[in-house]
Amino acid sequence: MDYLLHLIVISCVYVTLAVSLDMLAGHTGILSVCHAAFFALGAYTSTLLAVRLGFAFPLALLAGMLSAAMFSVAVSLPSVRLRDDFFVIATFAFQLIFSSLLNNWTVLTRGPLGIPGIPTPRILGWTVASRGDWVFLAALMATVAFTAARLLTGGPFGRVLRAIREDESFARALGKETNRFKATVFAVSGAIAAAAGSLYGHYVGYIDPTSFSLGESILIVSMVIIGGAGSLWGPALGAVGLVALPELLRLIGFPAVLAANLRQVLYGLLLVIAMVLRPQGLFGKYGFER
Amino acid sequence: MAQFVANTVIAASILAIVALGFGLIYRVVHFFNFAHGALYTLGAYATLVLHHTVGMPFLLSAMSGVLLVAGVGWAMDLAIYRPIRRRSANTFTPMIASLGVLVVVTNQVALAWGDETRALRTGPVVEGIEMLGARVTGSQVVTVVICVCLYGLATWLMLCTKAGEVARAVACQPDLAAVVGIQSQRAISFVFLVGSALAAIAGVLVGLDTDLTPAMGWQALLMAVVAVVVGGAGDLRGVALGAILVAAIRNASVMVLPAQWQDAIVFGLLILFLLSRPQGILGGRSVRLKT
Repeated sequence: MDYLLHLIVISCVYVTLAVSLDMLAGHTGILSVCHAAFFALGAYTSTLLAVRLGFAFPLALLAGMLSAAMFSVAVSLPSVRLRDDFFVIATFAFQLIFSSLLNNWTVLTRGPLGIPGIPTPRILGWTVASRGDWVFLAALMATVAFTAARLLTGGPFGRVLRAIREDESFARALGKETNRFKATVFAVSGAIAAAAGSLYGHYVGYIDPTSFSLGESILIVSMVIIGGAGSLWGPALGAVGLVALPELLRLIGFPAVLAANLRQVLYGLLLVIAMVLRPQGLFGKYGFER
Repeated sequence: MAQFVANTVIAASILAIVALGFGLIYRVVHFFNFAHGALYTLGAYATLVLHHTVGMPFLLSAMSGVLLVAGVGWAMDLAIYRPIRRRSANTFTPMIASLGVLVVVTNQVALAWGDETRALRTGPVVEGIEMLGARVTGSQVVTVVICVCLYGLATWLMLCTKAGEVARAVACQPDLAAVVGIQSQRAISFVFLVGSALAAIAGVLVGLDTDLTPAMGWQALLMAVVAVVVGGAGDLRGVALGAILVAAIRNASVMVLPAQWQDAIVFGLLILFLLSRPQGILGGRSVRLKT
């Protein structure tokens, strides 16, 4: 039962990540393979502030979101000049540089040793200690993220994003400052991913670079694409599905040692099958085909 | 200094072969084929199996491994990219599919042969020989010679043969090529065969010199992407130039900074190029970068 609650918390973290990436990939048509870097920035900023300077959780969370928002605006800059697939390559580079920083800037991040002893959060006198508390907090975050994404992509702002996705020159011809819209959606998406990172760090109590690698970024991309880019519900369900998958594999008797590789084989296969047969994913409307 | 030049030449020649195959495929089908890294890994492991498990002589197992992988690359195009291409011409979906292929192959190799490093060479590690003031091993000299020959051979294939001419026609003007009766699928199959063989050969050569790991394809692929973007994707000479530049920067950075920063510096170079000169050093204005 305790383990089930743990899985629910982790699912909520990934739902938040997938929904935030869907705003970029699904609605704006900008595929980014450095979402784990935003996730990491949220986790590292807030936990370092909490561990070294004793910041309270809400303040540390906000600081993490703010730093990720600024970083993601920087990441969005090359998109002004680059065609989509070249931009994907740029995000690969950002992710790998960030991973390298996490691993090698040992003075700040302690490198592969990771940061242990992250304190239990306390919010206005409420100590988030039991699993039940965590499920509540994580579900709250996922709901807020989902609602925010829904409101933002549902209104006129979202219409401009989809116009950029379908035909950026045309959107610009209509007088929309597309670069500013792209920077904004990047900032929001990065901040939401950072919130997930901050919660994840405080929940697990220990973070190290392996949780924020390139593989993690590809996993988040897979959740969005397999679930269905551009539909918000699809990526959310994709996130829950891909978190549950290794657990199902374990239930039918696969050894845990192989489960990590097997999970990646499965989502890689799903990615290939989706692209060949149904690029819009399970529940999506947008198939990255212009 | 001599050692720096030697190391750069060795690294650049292997990288150039990987990047050449990647660049050839990119030129004709216009998407980043991440599965190129998978073929590189498969080339090394196929040779390992044929040589160590089946017990074929090394040269024979390397050759059959390369042929096998070329076939895999050709089949991959027919089974995965061709259906996507027929549905719609875009650069995104085949790229994501190829990323999926790389993830599958990397992990499947890890499942089949374990995560630990494997060695392709049998005998003891031989001490390097002194050559113009640098210490190099025999296999490294062979590697450089093979790579230079292959680069020449591939350039000749693309520039001086009928098949290469057809492939270039499809690369530049797919519609016009179709109008004059060229079957584009044949040209695409041709570059996938050649490109995949190049990836596999590079994998075998690296396997001989150092070790095999399931993730080796990732490293090779990412460096090849940097070499192709930096050098200029539209030009065969650009790929070689990019490979030399990347190898030189990797080796030079070790002298100044600890080795673990190598990759970060190379990717920093990539971002610098993407921001300031996305068409690469030799890429002309004609390279289409914006939609």
